[in-house]
Amino acid sequence: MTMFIGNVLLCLVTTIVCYYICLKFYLKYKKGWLNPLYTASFLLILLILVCPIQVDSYKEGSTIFNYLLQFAVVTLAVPLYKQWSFLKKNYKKIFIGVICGTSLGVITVLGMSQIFHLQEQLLASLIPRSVTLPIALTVSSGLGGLSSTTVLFVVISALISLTIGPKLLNKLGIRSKSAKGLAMGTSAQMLGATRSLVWGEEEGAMGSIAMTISALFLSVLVPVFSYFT
Amino acid sequence: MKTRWFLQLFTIIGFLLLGSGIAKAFHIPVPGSVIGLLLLFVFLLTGIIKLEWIERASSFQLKHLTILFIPPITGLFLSSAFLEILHWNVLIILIVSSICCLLGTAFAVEWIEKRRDVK
Repeated sequence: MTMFIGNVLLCLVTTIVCYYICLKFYLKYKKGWLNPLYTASFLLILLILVCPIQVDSYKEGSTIFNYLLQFAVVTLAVPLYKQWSFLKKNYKKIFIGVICGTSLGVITVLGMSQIFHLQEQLLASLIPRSVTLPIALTVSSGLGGLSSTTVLFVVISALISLTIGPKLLNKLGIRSKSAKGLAMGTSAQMLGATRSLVWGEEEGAMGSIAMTISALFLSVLVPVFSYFT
Repeated sequence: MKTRWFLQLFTIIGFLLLGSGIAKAFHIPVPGSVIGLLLLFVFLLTGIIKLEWIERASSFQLKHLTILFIPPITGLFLSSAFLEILHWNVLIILIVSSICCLLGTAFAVEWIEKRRDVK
């Protein structure tokens, strides 16, 4: 037990210190690639490899972050509440757009995993890949997926949508502000919402609403669906 | 001021516990944290919980959301299993499903807006 508490403390302290240093750098130079998500992870890996820290004890300690993640999911109610009047005004296109996009994404994952004969654990980590990380991790662990794999898939999906999304939407002649914002928010969640804010305020609001709604939709749909099958 | 901060945290933790409890008690397959989110949202809408009561704790949490994803990423690279996972077929699935998700949303929204214009 004392070992476990020690590991949790070790994990918390090293992670927070790395994050804090990288955040300071990020705020100072304001470069996209300095995002603490990449730099702090890199720093932490270096630290663990260089210092005599046991990899297993770090991993054991990181279970504390699962609880913090659930806490983060609950706090997503606050941005949703703040956007309530906007959501009420545009509920039809928001719901239909997000539900179509999210389900189409899940259906393609299911269909292609049949073709490629994927392992079940890998599939469980792939299904929630389009939604925001705290909810994606909860959904994937509920399905029996691995959290580390899920993070990788979520980040890669968001990066794919982010790099080709804006150009693709432009080429296909999508002009509507809501369509662009919702599409980016649904497929690239947080990163997409930030990107659509570059287009304008309406796109940005649509992007962040799409992020929350698609995560909620998936987190309700997937367990209910797997419950009945 | 300090106690207030803790009170805000405990309110949110209370909703998390409530959500998990409801999910367990009624055998709802939805994650407890999501039920907690919906409950908190309803309580905010009805005005039972005021936004100011939880705003500081929640904005702090949302501002530093990134830190929660650092341990899983670190764990992934340390386990060195990620090369085995990232086969070409997984990459193809990721690319195709991302594009489907993106275009599905965009075309659905455009379709609705066009239909409304015709009316």
